[in-house]
Amino acid sequence: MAEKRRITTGKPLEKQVKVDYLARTEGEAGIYALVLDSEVKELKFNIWEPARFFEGFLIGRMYYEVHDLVSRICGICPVSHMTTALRALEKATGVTVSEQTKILRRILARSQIVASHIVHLYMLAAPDYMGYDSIIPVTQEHPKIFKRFLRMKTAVNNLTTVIGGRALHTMTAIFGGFTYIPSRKNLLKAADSLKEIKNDALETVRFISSLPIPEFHSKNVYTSLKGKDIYPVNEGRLCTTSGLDISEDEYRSHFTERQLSYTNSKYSSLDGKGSFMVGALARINQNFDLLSNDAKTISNEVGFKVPNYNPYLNNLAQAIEIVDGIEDCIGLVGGLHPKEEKSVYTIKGGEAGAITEAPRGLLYHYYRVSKNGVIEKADIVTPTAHNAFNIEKDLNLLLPKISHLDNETITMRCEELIRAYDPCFSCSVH
Amino acid sequence: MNLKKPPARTLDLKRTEVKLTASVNSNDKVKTALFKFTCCAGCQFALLYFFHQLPETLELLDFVYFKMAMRKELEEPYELAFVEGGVSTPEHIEQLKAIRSQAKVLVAFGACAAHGGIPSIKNWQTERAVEENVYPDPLLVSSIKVSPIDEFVKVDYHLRGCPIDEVEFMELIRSVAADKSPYIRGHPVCVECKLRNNICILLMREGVQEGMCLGPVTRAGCRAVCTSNMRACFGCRGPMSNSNIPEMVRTFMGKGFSAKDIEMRFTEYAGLSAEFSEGARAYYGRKTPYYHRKAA
Repeated sequence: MAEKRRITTGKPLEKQVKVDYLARTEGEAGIYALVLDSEVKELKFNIWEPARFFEGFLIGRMYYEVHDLVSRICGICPVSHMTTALRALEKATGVTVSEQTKILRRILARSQIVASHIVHLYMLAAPDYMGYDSIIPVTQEHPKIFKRFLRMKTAVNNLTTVIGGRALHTMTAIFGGFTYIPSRKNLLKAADSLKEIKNDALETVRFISSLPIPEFHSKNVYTSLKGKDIYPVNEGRLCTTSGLDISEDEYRSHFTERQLSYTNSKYSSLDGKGSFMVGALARINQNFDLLSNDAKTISNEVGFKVPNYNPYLNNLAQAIEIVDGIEDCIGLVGGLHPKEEKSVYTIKGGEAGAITEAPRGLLYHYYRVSKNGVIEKADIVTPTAHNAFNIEKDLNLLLPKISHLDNETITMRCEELIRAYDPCFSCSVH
Repeated sequence: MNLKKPPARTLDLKRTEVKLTASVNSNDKVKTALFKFTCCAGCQFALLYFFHQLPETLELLDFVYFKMAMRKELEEPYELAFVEGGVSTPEHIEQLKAIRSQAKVLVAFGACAAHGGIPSIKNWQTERAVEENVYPDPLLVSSIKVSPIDEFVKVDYHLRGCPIDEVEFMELIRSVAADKSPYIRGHPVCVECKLRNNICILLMREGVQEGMCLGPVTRAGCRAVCTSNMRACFGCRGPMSNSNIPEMVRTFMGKGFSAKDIEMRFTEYAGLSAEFSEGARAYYGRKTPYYHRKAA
């Protein structure tokens, strides 16, 4: 390649970032970047995890098992895939569910969002800023932090277990309702243990804000659901900071996907124009007013202001969502008087899509179902498939700014940036 | 009829926990590597996050390679290798053989590694049809039929289930650390279900999701977690030894389930196993998976 060379040195200042297998994220991806004289010559964000073809093999399956199958798209956010698929299928087949089912699904999804944030912050993201390879040295050197992590995960997983049957790949939620309704006593017991970790959640926000997070500003189009009077989880209008405000049925007329040669994940773009960011930061940027008072107070205390344009601060946004999520779950459980329900339904053929907020952001599921209940078409867009284009865009912006640093630090910064997005590559190549 | 749930909801893990008082010297720990192929990463995530006995696990195992938890390249030698996920690219086969030549004990970690799992549903359609339904240009994506890892190498132990069970996992790592064989159950889920005083949902409940229970032919080890939550067993742990599949199919037919329902139930998690694919074909008779596994 004929590169323009700098006359003074005779050699361009070359920096290379090469990561084959990105650690501490879910799934498999790598980055390759070549920077010459603070100009990005080549950048490939390569999600090389083998494709799993969910949208392909779902065709021909029955409507009642789809939520189980799609929950195996992701090991961290199975509940989000499950509740989204259920809502899309119920909408497509004309089945309405009870108010109690909706509330239980909201608690289930919310508790899993909190759980996912906890694991991301403590196990995947924080070790970078603390100077460790993994959380394993933290167990010895910062037992206080590790114990706080264990307390929080136990309490939150407990709530998911009470409703879902187990914390990972829950099985009680089925088409039309639940196989089993938990007793109020068990729910309140789980809520009590959540109350005990309220303080830990605040400490988490302080802990994350105390980490040396790089200053980097990248003004993105933040895309998330917008709630009317509650923080959006399972439903809401789809809004962006660029002014789009649509219902979930109009999703496909604004969001398109394309395939690239070097990555197995499809890239999503908005109105054919460009990338956008989804996730905790996007949610908080658009729904700050709907956060609980505690969450607002702690945001002020640590100096987090919206709108915030630093993608590294997605971590802090997640910590704030933990505070809000715990409060939300306690409130919902307190107001719930569960009773046994029998769901009776008849299905008709149809098609529909549903959008929810998964831990990592906007999640879209669409199905077309025949009148016998057989799936004819499936379309799933996961949060990381939404974000992949934007991650590449942010790396493009970041690299020239840090190209004066040594190779190792540049690599670290890039990895931290990607991890801040909390990507799930397994989801993105579903 | 109102079916009450039994009081014992989850086993009290605290009671089974063994506290190791003296910290084990890191030289005595089992050097362990964890690899991921085609799967949702839920099983390694369960180990990392959902299991209660993570501190004890770290006392027994010294992870030399665990990409989801550690920023560290693979370091040989290691004695114990967990392989999670099914094989779905040619590179996986090469990697798997390299792992086998290095590890003393190779464990299939979860339903995908043991039976192909949910990604293997695509084997029941032609590769081309599946790929064209997902990618505009299938030529850019490399993929082969999904298969369990013991198709290519000898596997010492199988940790089945979607996701794996904590008690069985602890039994396995304690056994490997003590150099003995773990107790992996060969009996059906029904045994564990009865031990938990559950009312039989195959007899008492209706509907595919609540009454179409594969418990009588599925290998135990999950502590009957689904049936205890009023959910029919969907066979994620694969067939038990000597399972009577024709009788299972007859029972389902007797309950009025359709051919489609029966086929779907048998092909969800372990459809590639000889037994479950027999069940899927028994009534429907038309389809066989395009990639058909040798009879065990």
